[in-house]
Amino acid sequence: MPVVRFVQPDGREDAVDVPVGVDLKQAALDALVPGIIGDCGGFATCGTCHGYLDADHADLVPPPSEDEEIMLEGVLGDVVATSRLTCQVVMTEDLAGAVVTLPEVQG
Amino acid sequence: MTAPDALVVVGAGQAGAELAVTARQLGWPGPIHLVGAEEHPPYQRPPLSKGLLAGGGATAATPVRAPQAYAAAGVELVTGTSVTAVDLSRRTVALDDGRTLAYRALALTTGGRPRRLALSPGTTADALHSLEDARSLGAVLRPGLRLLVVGGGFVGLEVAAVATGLGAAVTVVEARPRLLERTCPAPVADLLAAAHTARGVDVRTGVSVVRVDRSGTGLVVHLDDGSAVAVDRVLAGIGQAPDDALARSAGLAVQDGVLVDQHARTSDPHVVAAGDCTRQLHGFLGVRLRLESQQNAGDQARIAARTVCGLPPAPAAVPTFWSDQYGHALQIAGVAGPGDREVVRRDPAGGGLSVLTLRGDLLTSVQAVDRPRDFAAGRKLLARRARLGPPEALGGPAPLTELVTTGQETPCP
Repeated sequence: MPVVRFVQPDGREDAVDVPVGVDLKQAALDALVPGIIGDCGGFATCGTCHGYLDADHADLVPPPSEDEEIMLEGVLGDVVATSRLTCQVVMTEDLAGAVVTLPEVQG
Repeated sequence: MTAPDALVVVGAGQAGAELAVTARQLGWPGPIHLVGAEEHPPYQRPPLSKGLLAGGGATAATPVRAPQAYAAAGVELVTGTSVTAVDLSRRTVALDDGRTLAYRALALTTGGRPRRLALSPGTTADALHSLEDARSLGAVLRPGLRLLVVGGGFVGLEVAAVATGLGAAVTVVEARPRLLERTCPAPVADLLAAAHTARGVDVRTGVSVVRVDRSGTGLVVHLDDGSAVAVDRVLAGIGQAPDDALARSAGLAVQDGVLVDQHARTSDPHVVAAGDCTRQLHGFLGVRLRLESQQNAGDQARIAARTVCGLPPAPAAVPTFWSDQYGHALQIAGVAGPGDREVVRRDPAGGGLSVLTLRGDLLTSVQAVDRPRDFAAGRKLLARRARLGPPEALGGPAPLTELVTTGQETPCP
């Protein structure tokens, strides 16, 4: 199964087997990765599953929808070009080896 | 009896699941028992009145986490089991399977119970609270079904929207003068009421059910304005009461909800509580209130987990709420106080609107229908305790972020 590494702001890492077709937010919750909340259940309406996708993989997934971009404007953590709501990133074989770094604060 | 260094979590909904897992992530060293009366692993309740209901009678739950996550976290998940008593002095809980669990810390996450509407002596209307409720209602929703929804709050209106989408003929009866009176400003309620009416829902406000008669296979519901509605099914969405019975019988301080402070501490130093069962002093809002939402359940549970683990408190988040009806997305951040002034922001072209509430020039809440930008910006500004101005510009087209006068650089409380 392809692996995604989730990296905490303090550098701690979790390597998670993510089934193809599962979104990264749910994979992180199921694997007990801290720092991802996902209040809205995966509809890009709460902005509490923010993460930074590594640059090598950021272009291998569909770009954010307008709704996701709007929610990203409102998150409390720093927003950069590779910021995503992880509930909107669905696992593919291309994402094997991807690294998602989590922000200091969710919400 | 179990090891005395255990954390026992009573109630396996959103709050209980989050509290148990977070306590482990934060380093709780002993056993963790998560005890729930329902047969299912923890699942999310918001989808019950939305997409999940539309899936019919065989629909699957939306789990909070994959069921194997609890074992991986060293959390013993005990489903289908009720806690019958708590002994605060001996620090034990009694389960209805005969077991007794000793605890070093106890967490109450018992949620709420739907208020029941009596249809006749001995029978009550359907409510929508559990997965079984959603399956039961989902199994009968079909074109032509005549459904009466009693209660024009979030659950009632979401059910009305789903049922209408499936072809049912829906009547909504609300005792208050308008829909969503407890939670939303009038412009928001009016927009959603219009959406229901446009799809053929018969929305009646200011009326109550006085009597229900059987009529063949159906029911005739008599209202206090003298009218009557013939229906096949009645769903009551008339709110819920906090399930504080266990706390009350244990001797904890209870007042329409388990009383907790901003760190989720109850009146007993070994007991915390979180979620719908509590009446909390809210760390962000600074007022004592009950909050019923998935977001609060999770946030308060994480605060409680820190308390249980003896860690410095984390700040409470801005409360948020969501609803979804006919594709209209209602997003709410913050809680308006009595006397707060309202400012309406409308799209000249589109159909959405937002209502800001302000105390002086301090933003206290944003309620946005189909205006996610106002919600997203508003929540961030609330977290920063932003003040907005000038007053005449607040209802105009400028983005909220351009209307900040002070507060933008203030750290979160």
